[in-house]
Amino acid sequence: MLTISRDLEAKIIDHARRDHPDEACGVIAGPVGSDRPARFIPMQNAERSPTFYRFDSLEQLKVWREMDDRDEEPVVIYHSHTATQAYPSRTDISYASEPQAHYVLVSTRDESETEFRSYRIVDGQVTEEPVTFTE
Amino acid sequence: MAIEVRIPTILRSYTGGAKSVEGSGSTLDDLLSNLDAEHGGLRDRLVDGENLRRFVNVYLNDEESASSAA
Repeated sequence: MLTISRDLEAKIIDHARRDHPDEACGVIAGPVGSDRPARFIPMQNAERSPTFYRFDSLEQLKVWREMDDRDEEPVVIYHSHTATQAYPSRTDISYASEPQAHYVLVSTRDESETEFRSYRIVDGQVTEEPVTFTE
Repeated sequence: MAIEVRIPTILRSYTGGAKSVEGSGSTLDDLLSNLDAEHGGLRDRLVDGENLRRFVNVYLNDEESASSAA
């Protein structure tokens, strides 16, 4: 289960809407072992594509090093789908390499409603999980 | 010449939790084999046959040095 604040939910959706029709991506860091998303880190989609996302390699190095220095880990790794449902693609699944992270997907295919779903992806296995929002 | 190799969190199970280890080698291939001798299994996480696994990035002095996309 993912527990996340409404404020962070809004930040993810806002980022996805701004980058639409390209996929948006980023990380929410939290203290190691806390499972609590705290620090919002929107990132560039180096693919700049409406169908794929990939972190820019130098930005990825910077963000991951900084988390390590701060004793944080990626609690949420999010990205958006712009024309399809909020479910991980085969590429998304191959790309997922943080077993403790909650992989959040939002879909901006509908102008008025944004789908927001969360998954665990471990060893190529995808399991959807419930999301609890806090105020 | 000892090379300082910084290890991301998800691979630290191979280094007994160490964030950084030392290795040697004049090519990346040699370095990875050298590291694998001390930290068995590490190379296999990074290399598939002759190539770096997809989505693995290697940085030399904080600049991107190798990726399977290159």
